[in-house]
Amino acid sequence: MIEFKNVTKKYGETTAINRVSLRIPGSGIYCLLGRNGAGKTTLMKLLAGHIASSGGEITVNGEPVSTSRMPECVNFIESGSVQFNMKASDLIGTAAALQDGFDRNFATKMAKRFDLNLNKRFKQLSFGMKTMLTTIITLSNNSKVILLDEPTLGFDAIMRDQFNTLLLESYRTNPRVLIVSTHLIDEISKVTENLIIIESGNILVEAGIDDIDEKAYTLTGAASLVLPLLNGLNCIGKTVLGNVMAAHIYGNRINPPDGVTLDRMGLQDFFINMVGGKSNDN
Amino acid sequence: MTTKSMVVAKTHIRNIKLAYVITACWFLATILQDIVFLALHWLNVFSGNEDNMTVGLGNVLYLIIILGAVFIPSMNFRKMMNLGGKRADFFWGSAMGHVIMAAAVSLAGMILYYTYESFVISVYYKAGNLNVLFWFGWINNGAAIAFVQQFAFLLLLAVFVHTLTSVQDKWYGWAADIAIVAIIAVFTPIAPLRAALVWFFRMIIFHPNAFAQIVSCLVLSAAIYALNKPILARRTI
Repeated sequence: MIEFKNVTKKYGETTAINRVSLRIPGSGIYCLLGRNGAGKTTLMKLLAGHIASSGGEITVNGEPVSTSRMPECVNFIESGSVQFNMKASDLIGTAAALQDGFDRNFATKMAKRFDLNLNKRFKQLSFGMKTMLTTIITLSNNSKVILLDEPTLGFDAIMRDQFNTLLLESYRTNPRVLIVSTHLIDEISKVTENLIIIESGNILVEAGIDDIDEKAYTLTGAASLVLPLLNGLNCIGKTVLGNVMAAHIYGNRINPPDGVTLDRMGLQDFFINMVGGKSNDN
Repeated sequence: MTTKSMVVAKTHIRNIKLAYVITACWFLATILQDIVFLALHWLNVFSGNEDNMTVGLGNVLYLIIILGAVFIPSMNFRKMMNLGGKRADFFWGSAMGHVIMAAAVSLAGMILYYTYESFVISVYYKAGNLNVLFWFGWINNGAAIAFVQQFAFLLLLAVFVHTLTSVQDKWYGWAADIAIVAIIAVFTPIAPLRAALVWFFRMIIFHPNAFAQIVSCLVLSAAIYALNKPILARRTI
């Protein structure tokens, strides 16, 4: 079980993580969603014990996490991370030697599936392939908590689809906590069960995908009909075109009156409204 | 120390290529210089004089120790962590790497001293060469003891540079730099303090008792390297 209690991380005057409290009870694929600079990587680094927090407490299975007490059961490699300029096969071999329970067969299988040339040195690989190699090394670890930071950065659409399949395969073979940070919500939503949205160092949403599916909806109709409905609803964004208004709601569903339609909000729209949350009606 | 430490040590030794390249350039330049001078000498074009000296080829290899001790904590730490390494493995593996490299350089230095350097000196460099084996008096204790003396000194050098490099991104790293410069600057002109400085260098370099010099270097190496434990614990990735 992972727990953040009032965790803050400051870089000089900048607050990257602001009094975050978060609880991840057990196994599952969690999607950490946020804009660039929202605090996703910092949150992961804190959890892995790569950096020290400025305040609050992080625990993994009840054990406090710090740079001097990196949790053994958490594995995290930052996206775009620097690696030794060795052959891909040697990097996998070294990682296998350094990590207990490293699944070398899984690593080889993934490398083959993604046509990763194991004889190429790290610097000779394309950007996408570098990310792929890092992702393979992270995912092949047997740790109970795996943190994948932008694992599909530089991937084409086919690679992203294959990656999602493999992520699911990895989880089915070895159920554990898989936290994936990404911008590409619609693709990851095919495999993830839980969503954590972070913005400016604050957790905005922490909910199951099904829950969001149920609670995130759009009311569309004449502005004169939609506006009165918004009282008491958690309106996260509005779009007005002429006298037609689309109000984006996150909360309990209502029965709309005649002239107003209720539609399911896509995850992408939900995310944009949550972090953007700006109306265009003024 | 575990197999993982050995993997870390091996990875370090494989991944300080820049140190090897720079050292190889100096090494080859020294050989080329010797070849040119020997050729000129044999051709009676230029005979030089009795004061000619050269840097011992074995001592050129010291550069690997110094640069390696800079690159391991500054460049290899993060990469090792990115492969899923643990801090404890890095701590022990780096120590093992320094021990292996110090032993290898000391051995190569001994071989070069008794082969290449002996030949070159006898022919051209009448005043000898700038080799610490000779100038520190270690060679007078015989090849085997000189090897250990050189090894212990190189290990101390590596550990010192490694530790100093590890803290350069912290305020106390800069404080350590200033303290070292201040100690040398303040201790040198004041007689009693200078005596302390002389005593220190005598212990780690010039002590007539080889055993005392070796033990001093090894104990000091262990003490300095132990500082890396808390440094490493605070280090961010």
